[in-house]
Amino acid sequence: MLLIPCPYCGARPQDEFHYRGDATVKRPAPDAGLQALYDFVYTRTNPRGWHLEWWHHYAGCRQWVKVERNTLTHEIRTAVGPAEDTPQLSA
Amino acid sequence: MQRPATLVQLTARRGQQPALAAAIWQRLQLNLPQPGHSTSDGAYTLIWIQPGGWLLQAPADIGNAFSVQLKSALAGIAAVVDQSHGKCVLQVSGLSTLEVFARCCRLDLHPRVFDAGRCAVTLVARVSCVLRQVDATPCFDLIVASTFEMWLLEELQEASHAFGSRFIPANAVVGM
Repeated sequence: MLLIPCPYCGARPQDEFHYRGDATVKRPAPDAGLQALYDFVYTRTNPRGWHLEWWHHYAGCRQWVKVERNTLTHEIRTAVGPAEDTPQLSA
Repeated sequence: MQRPATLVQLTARRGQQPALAAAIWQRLQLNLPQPGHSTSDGAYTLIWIQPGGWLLQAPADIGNAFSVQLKSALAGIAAVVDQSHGKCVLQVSGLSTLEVFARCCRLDLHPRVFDAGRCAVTLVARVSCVLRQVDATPCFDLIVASTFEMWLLEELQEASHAFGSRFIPANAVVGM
């Protein structure tokens, strides 16, 4: 069970959230080609260590939250709103 | 205890939160509460539910006209949605209230961190609801979707089995 520090509600249990995937992927330019779009939609890295991800606080404030989580230890370093910048990921 | 109420959701339009706060103050003499808090004058209660969003709990007998008036008064300032038909209020109070919530809600409701006037949108017995501490008796309001009310009531009764509980339906408290 993760305890996710929602920037709006405070620390809340994981079952109030939906995991919504990698928060680092960027939509490619319209002329970037089919492979770039395919990679954007389907190809994901599977990092061991710090990972930036989206969580949707569906049972709370209903905001999307950007969470920096260690996939190895489940430690959570930061959780910020969707428009805010997080510190650069360090490996 | 079941409590009839009028529930209106207010969502501030982009950049209009100060205007909403002013309009609400002018109309109800209530401040827009900070995140995790609520403000109340006894009859009307404003509950923070999300950034820029509040739930206004009002007496049941003012009916539909209230939200219609509010809607025209807040045009361009906030979205006003009457939720009374889809939500209802269960009030839980008594000596063992905190023990009952400890069995079905994951939040820390100890008076040290969650005192009167605090509120939270969370899961109680796996049902999404708005939890608000009315007073330090302790007494809590649970605002829940009507279709989940029976489920939540049964879960609460099950959780309070060891302490004993009594349910007072809404039609029994008319005149309170």
